[in-house]
Amino acid sequence: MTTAVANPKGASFTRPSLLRRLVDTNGFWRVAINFGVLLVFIGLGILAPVLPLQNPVKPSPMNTLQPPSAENWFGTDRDGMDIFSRTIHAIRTDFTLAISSVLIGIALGVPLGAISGYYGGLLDNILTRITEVFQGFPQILFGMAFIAAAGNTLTNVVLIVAFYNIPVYSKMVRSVVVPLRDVEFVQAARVAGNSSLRIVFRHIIPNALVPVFAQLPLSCAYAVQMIAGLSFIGLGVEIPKPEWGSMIQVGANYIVFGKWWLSVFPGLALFCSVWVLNNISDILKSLWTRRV
Amino acid sequence: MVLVDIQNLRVQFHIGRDVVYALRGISMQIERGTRTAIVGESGSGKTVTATSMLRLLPPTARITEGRILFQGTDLLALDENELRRIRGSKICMVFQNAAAALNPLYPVGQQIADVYHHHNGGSKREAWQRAVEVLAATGIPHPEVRARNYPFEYSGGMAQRAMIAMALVCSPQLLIADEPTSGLDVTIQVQVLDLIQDVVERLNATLVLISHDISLVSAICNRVIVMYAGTVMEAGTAGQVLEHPANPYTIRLLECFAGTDGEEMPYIPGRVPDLREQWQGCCFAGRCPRAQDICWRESPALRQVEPGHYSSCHFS
Repeated sequence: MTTAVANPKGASFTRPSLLRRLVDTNGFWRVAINFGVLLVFIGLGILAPVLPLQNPVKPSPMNTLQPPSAENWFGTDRDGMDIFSRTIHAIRTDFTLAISSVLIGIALGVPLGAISGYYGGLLDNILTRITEVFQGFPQILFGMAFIAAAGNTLTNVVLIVAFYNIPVYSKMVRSVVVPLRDVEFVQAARVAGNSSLRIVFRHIIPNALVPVFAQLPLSCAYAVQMIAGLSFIGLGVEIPKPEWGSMIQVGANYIVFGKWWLSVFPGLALFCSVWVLNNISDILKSLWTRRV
Repeated sequence: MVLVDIQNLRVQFHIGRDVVYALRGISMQIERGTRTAIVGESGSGKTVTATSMLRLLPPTARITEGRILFQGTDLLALDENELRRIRGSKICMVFQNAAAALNPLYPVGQQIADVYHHHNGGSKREAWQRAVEVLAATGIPHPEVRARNYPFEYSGGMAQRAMIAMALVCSPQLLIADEPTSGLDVTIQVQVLDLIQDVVERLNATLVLISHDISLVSAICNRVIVMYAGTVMEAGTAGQVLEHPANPYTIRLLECFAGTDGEEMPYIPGRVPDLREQWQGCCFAGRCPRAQDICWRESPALRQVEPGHYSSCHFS
């Protein structure tokens, strides 16, 4: 208590910033490259409409299947649309769909997992079994069935991917909440007369959010893959809307004729974004596996 | 007047296939305004008794029999909503590990203000002011700065003070302190106990102090209940129990604390019975120097040996 007197400001120890801690545990270059690439992707996506790009959806019948040139950096596709411009614009499509589906998954999965972990018993058992059944079901098959039943719209694609994110988050949060349930500050909150729901939302969920944030980029990577995968088989995003999966699909028909640029460039963009998001998720995990 | 009346309370824990009989029909009365200590070894059931009063037992526990009357209402019969009104406003608890009893994500002052706001309403600002006041009252230096600190910035002793401040802000009628001083430095232990006594006197509240350390207990408590293997062995005023104990277990226990005089450290031979078993006789029979045949056949009832002094032994 004497330290407090000597130092009336209280805290003498300042917590290092988030970025500082990430760099300390992962090394500068790993953090810089991965976050840098992600920022470039996001920046290009946001700025795409104002950048001096060609119209991504304007066909030019006289100029189809051209190899990369000074005019068309990544070449042109079957309909003569500029692949460079389409690849950039596709960031908007893929990332928006991916992020919204992941956020829906979190918004539903986190409370679900917290409630099932906190209350336990029969409710927990039922919820866990349902999520397991759901996770065991093949995703593309479910996607096809859902779209066949509910219509081929972007909203439905988002919902499909969101459904697959709910169990991921509910299980993760549940696993963090179960040990938290008997921690003393939760007991103390109970002693203070808080209701169970208040304890869950105010005391338990905030303490379970770190792994959720670490999982978020990974889920986004997964969602980007799944959206591209669905549109590759013709579900969801329709040509001419720029989207990596459908672009790869169009190019796949021409790759045997040596027209490699149709698929390779959107494929590289897809690969890069997924890879970087995976790395970022790993980097963020160091925050909670190695507590400073 | 009796504030808490525990009647024949039995609690079991179901752990796997085993059943642990943690409380074997205990009865005790806690008078309003007293400072009662519950002492006993580990596993004697003192913490289970306290957590039963707040119905905070883990899901593996079953209360199979008994009643806990608090101001005449049976706590075991209340539903969750009625219970919530009692917790925090009429009964409060100070935990063993105070640093773990504070949520690491919120400033300490905010947590105290939350409790105040929850029970008294009013504005957030008023609640915050009240939190700073009680922190000051518990002897935290620079309370307005400290209130904004997070629990990890508090030392063990300060965290315990903050917990007591939280109890103070509720102004409960019954304060349960579960080993509030374990894990603290000896010098801080005395300060924290003094603070608890001070707070209890200020609130005109009743204190139940759970401890295994008889010397600390004798400093602030005026009644002592001795527990062993899920039963109450002896109960009475601090003077009665500590000065001239009636129960052989208490006698042996006090001998262990009395000091060694340079000789071999005194101890009670034998070991604590396995709580998974049920037995007929006295739970202390196996270790008691005075044990006779009857001790193995019949379990002794809690009998009055002098006014206000009870002991469960066939020979006291």
